[in-house]
Amino acid sequence: MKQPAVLRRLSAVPRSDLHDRRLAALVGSALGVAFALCFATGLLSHLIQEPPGWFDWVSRPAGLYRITQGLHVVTGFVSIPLLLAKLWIVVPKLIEWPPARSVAQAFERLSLLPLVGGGLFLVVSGTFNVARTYPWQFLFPAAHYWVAWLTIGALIVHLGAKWAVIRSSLGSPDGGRADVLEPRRRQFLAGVGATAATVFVAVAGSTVGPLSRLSVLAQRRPGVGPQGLPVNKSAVGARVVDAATSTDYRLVVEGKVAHRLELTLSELAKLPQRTAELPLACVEGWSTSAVWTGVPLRDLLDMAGAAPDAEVRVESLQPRGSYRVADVSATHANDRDTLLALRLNDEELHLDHGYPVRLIGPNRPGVLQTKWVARLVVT
Amino acid sequence: MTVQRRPIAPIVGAILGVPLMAAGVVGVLGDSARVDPWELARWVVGADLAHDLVLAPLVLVLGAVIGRVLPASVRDPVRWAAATSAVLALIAIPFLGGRGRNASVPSLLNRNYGAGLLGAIAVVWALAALWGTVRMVRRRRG
Repeated sequence: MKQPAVLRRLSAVPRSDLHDRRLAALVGSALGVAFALCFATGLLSHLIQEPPGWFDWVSRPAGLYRITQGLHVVTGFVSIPLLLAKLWIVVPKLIEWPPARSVAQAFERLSLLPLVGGGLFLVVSGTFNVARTYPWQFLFPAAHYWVAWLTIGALIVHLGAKWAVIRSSLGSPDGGRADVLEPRRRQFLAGVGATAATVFVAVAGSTVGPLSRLSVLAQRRPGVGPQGLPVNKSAVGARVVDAATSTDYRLVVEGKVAHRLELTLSELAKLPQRTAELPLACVEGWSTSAVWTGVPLRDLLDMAGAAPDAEVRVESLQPRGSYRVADVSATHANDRDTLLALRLNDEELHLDHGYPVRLIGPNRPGVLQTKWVARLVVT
Repeated sequence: MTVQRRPIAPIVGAILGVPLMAAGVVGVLGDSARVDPWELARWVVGADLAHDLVLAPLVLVLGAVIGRVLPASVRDPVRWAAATSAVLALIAIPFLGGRGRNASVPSLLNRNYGAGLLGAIAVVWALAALWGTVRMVRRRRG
């Protein structure tokens, strides 16, 4: 096949000498570490939210999920300049002719489509999710999750195909010092690092409190919201205002119990209360610590005569929504700090924080900290 | 005579990577209640094409223009500032759009993202100006 004229002309244009193997390997290594970290933390978050039978998420340390998910979101943002820099370095390969010299090379080059398309999709969809903007019909968490598998698989294929090139270009005995291009590579790397640091400062304030003032592209300011805590879904948005403020409100405990319980808010308030400082950590990366007071879930299970290894399905007053129901494993149910909270920072819960009763426990994603709790079904 | 050894890494990469890629594809196909596979495929391929056919040519042309128009000492600072501004602006797109705002949740997306972006870009160009000045002074002395 003849090389198309437009490609021939493009390849004759003088180009920067920074479209270079060693630089590609250096930036690629940083990007690979970022993607691996994103994949691991993202997979963990998925396992916590949709746990398979073999997976039992720990309830301690209480702030672990806050760290892993904060890392996931911040690393995703920081990988944007790394990804764009990497693609810039290797861009002349796009017009290489012939496109492939062997079947193996054709396979390797085809695997770049899911790698590049998948990588770009992950950072774009992640960014749009943090901005709560959905110009598509599919459900974001599911699409983001499946494309992550596609991308990480393509990354491993790519790593294998390029292994020899990566090793030889990173492993020069003098660390590249004898190479006349090395100072310019260093400058390029410093530039990419500075851009990545700028992005970090611009977004990390949702998680890293002290940066909040500088984080001009953060979704939240920690500490801003009713009772000093951000809100994801309001009572109005969840259509629970009437049910949550009704005098008919009862917390029901049923399922595999010796005696079914039906408790009013004042009956709950008369039970022994426990206070714990626990973070509220959103899957979208923001987190804030607060002081919660309420009845330990385990106390209610004991009152109802549930088994010591009981698991609980917590249901909200919300008529619908993906996070209307959350499961609490035995590990979490038996942690004394897993509370049905009535108070936040020593005030009655704000309606938007789940009045009259919300679930709050150590080391759980925010979407599993069910608000406006109506029913505990022991399983 | 040397014996040509067939490299093993590409085979290992394919054996480990292809099943993971397949898991993603099979997963999507089995999850069509939540994800329309064709819509998702359009987004993934579209992301690739948007980079290869729009973003990359634009960046290459801009880089070349900067190379022709500007004196050598300030080219790199200007390139860095332009690239960093572009990255910040790209990230800001959905925040500036404001479609994620929700009247009943005032604590969400509660910043002035336009002003913030302009401020960040101003800081980036100030840093680049500092870098460029230092380079020019050094060149004159040297």
